Amino acid sequence: MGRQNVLELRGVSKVYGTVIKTQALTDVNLGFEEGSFSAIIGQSGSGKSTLLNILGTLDKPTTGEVLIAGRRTTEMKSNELAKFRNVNLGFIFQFHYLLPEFTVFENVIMPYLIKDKGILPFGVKEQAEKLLALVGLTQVKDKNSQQISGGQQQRTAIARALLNNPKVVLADEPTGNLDSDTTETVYQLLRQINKDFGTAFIIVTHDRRIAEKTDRIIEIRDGRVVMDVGIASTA
Amino acid sequence: MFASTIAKRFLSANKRQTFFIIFGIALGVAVQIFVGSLIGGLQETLLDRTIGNTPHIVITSDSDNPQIENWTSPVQSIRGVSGVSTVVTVQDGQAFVRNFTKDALVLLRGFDIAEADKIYGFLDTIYEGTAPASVNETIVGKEMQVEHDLALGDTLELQTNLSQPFDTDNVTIVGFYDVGVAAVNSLWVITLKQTTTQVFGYGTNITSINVQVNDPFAALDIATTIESQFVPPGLKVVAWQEQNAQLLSGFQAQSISTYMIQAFVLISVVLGISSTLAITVVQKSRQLGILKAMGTNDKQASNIFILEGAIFGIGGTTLGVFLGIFLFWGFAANVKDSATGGPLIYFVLDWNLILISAAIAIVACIIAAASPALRASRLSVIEVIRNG
Ligand SMILES: Nc1ncnc2c1ncn2[C@@H]1O[C@H](COP(=O)(O)OP(=O)(O)OP(=O)(O)O)[C@@H](O)[C@H]1O
Ligand SMILES: [Mg+2]
Repeated sequence: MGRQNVLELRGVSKVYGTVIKTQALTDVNLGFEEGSFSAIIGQSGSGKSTLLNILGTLDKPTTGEVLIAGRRTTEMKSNELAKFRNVNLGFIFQFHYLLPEFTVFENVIMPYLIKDKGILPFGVKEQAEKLLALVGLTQVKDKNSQQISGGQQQRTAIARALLNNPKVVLADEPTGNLDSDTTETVYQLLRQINKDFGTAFIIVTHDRRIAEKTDRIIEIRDGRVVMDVGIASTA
Repeated sequence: MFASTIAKRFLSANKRQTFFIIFGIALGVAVQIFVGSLIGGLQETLLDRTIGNTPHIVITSDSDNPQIENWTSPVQSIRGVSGVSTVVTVQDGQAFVRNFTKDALVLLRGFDIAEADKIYGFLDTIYEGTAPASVNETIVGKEMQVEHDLALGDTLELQTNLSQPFDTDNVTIVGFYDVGVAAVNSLWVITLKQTTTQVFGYGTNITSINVQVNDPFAALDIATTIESQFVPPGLKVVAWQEQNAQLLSGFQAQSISTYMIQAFVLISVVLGISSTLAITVVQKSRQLGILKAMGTNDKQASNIFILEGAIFGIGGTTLGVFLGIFLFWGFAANVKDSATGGPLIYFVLDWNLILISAAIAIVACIIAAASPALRASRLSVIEVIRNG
């Protein structure tokens, strides 16, 4: 016990629409510790993406609070939140979301460029090279991000999410479009990073086999948390 | 820095679109500079033809007696007025040429030739013979020569008093001039003051003071100063503007229509950029969403598009300035005045016009980027992430 929650939801509900209302989340209370490795599962339309987006401060809850390292996000301005996301959060989206105008390498260093600190320091370059090696993309790093395969794009997104050494990586179906072998490789990679860097992962997946390899499974049904089980960590 | 990295890459990733926008702006700026230079050049040429070789301010007697007495001290004072470049005293009057068979009324003008030439510039236009050098020597204009079939050495019998037909003075033609203005060429008989003193019997009195100023448009103000401070009562001071009101209002109408053309060109350029950038924001909304999710703040997002506007503005304007100058040069070099066969206007660049047009265009491009930039800053990440 006693490890601090990096992200916490308190009584979070989300209602979409004003005329036709869709209750996507109802009274969700969840905390995520530093260095944890969790899976969020549930049927299509159950509210997983909604939950992840609220956790990532990309969306706002209708009621309830989101806390970042104990601080309420409602007290933070949009610029402050942007900076927080840049420094502490890494995103891996279901649909890759690389910038098509840039190369693989440039996409990976983008989170650093956003800091707007001028010339790229050697250390950051080295870090990007290291991450690209880790995800096995050294060969294609100077290709345009649209001229590589789907799996390679996914791995590029992983390297990008890790560049700033974030505290938490939020991943929405990160292996959604990948074959089972590649899926396996990607998960081993995420696990490895979790162990080596202490990065917390929150992974949305509909793949139970994957979920079972994590330390904690949270199941959502109709916008409510119906199951939240911890599995004894092997580490 | 970050915003410019992104802006430059967005633009270079779509070179065709970028080129067309820059070219569009360049055309707009080129048209502005071309039209502005053309109208400016035409006005200058016209102004030069109208008042280039005439006095800008003429001081004459206001009474029936054309003579001005005691003129030396006022002339001295006028020479000292700031903005005045040349002051010429004239002794002139109408004369009847008895040996002409028609159109026998001429204007006999007595000058200090060297001094008067600073305003009228007729010495350089003498195409036959020489300038008058002693009493009773005159030069006449080309039209007069042709009309009356005159040759060097011919004599004109001048009569100045209608009631005394036998009191005539003979003057000799020693040269022919052509100042390019028919009204002068056909009417003026130019001679020395010594000749007019004899013919009109005015002694040392003169009949008018001719003044040229550095800036023709300041002539009216200078005339007012001269009239109120430096000339005795009984004289009238007239600036060229008072006799060329139509020309001036023509200039004004022309200038206004030029400004309107320039304003409309500018407006269409601004609307073009603004709508193109608005489309670009939509085209790039996916990228903007990703960038914002990764922590790009609203200001950086809007700066991307302000910078795109600035790059379009600077690129398009630079190209447009060259294009506009080139168009104007082509026009000046190739379009001839059908009357004289010389160029219709001279290739003289008005750098004020060019710099002001360029500055306005660049600023307008940046302003045009403001509304797309605002859209970019307001773009919600979640909309983009959700809609894949
Ligand atoms: N923008 C929106 N407007 C209205 N309703 C929405 C919106 N986005 C999601 N919803 C609704 O909210 C609920 C939860 O959606 P969400 O995208 O979180 O589901 P999910 O668990 O991620 O599903 P999937 O596994 O298919 O991705 C669904 O009923 C969905 O229809
Ligand atoms: Mg989803």
